[in-house]
Amino acid sequence: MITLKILGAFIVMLSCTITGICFGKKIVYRMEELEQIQRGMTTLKNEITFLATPLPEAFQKIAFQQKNMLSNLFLKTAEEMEQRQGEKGEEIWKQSVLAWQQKTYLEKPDIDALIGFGTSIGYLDIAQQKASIELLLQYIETTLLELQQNKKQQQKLYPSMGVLCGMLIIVLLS
Amino acid sequence: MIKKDSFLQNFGGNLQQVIGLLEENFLKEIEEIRIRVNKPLLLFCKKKEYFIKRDGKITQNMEQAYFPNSEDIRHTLEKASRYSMYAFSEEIKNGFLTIEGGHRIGIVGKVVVENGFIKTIQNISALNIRISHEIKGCADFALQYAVQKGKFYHTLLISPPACGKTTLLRDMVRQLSNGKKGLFLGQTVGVVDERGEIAGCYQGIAQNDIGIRTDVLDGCPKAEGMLMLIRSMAPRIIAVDEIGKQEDFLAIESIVNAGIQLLCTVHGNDLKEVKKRKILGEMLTDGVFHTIFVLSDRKKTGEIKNIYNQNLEMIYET
Repeated sequence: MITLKILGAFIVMLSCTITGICFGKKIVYRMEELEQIQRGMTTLKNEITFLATPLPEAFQKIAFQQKNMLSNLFLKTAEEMEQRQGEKGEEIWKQSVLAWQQKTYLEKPDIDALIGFGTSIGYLDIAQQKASIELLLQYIETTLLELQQNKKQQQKLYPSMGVLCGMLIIVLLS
Repeated sequence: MIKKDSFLQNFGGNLQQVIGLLEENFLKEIEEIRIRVNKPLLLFCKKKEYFIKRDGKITQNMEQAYFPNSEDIRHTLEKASRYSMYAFSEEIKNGFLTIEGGHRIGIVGKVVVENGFIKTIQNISALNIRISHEIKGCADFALQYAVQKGKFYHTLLISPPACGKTTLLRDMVRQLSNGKKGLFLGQTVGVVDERGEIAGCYQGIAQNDIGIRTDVLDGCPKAEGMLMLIRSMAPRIIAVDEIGKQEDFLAIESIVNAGIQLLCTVHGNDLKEVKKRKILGEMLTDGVFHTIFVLSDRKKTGEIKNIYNQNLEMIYET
């Protein structure tokens, strides 16, 4: 009986700790994804300002170059734009972002900033496209800086919380 | 020729539906679609004008026509540019953009000027969609005159607007480039396609058949393009559409001096009118062009009215 209890306690401890570690990792994944967006958008800015590449082509090009989470979003948007799936580019972008975000670690403000970039898609000149990408890049930069500061703290906090939660459950159950 | 599905993708708002409802046979023959804000939707087909109703039927009664609104135009432009109007800013400055299939959308609206130069066009109020037609073989007759003893010489096509001069030019380029068994060998042709109408390039690839030995400089100003081609691709023939600017004629001089044959078009109703133009008139009297074709606006698109030789003597008349 006692062995069974110890085994149970061990399993509870282990799962809580792993959950804690995973929560701690979340911030790292979010940062990685933000960095990917930062890279992708910087390339997009160059494609638009120097080459005046139309969006569907630019998205495809960057997606094939970078091959990461962001590629999925870019490829989907490019495809829908090629097929003229909506009246406005803004709508297409928003729908693609909303469908894509479920598979990411990004949080609401990040998604809002991404969608915000979309509001200037289409009917504007190069300077304005550039400005809206720069706005997004600025957001990412400040967010990354903030996250960097919180990273260490959070990475310690969540695993320890996991351990403590595990302990609590064991005490309550025994 | 229109590929229906990809063509319809370019229309936004209610226009996609209205134009999508047009009869397919009719759609194939369209020459122009004119969309103006709060004015009846007009369509030109076989040199006749029709109004289009909301259900896609054609009518002669203006009252029944569909009246496009500014949203229709805005969405159409957004879709035609694949949501990337900025990519066409250079073309928009010239008042038009070329879409997939080589069709051309002309634009008017409020022009924004900066330092004396046109910056862009805002509040676009009317569009003119000109459908590019590819008629293979339409240059058969013209080439009998333009090619003498298997060699092609400097040729000028004079034509009123929308009478098929680009269509004829395109087919001449195709045939000269491919060659014709028993008549002449295929030659390297360089095309400077400033407005993207001859080759109808889309993402850099020619959508129209312009022959196997043809090199296209897409979207390039004619004068610079002609000189670039001489240096880069060593063509035997250079083809350009709608010459008229002073620098074009300077470039033409270089071409003639380089021993390259020229094939070009110019707007005009007849030879007499064109002869009055300053530089071009001089070139004509100097006998630069060996064959001069004048297109007719009367019957069929691309029909030749008169042909003149180097000495400006008429050698053919319909």
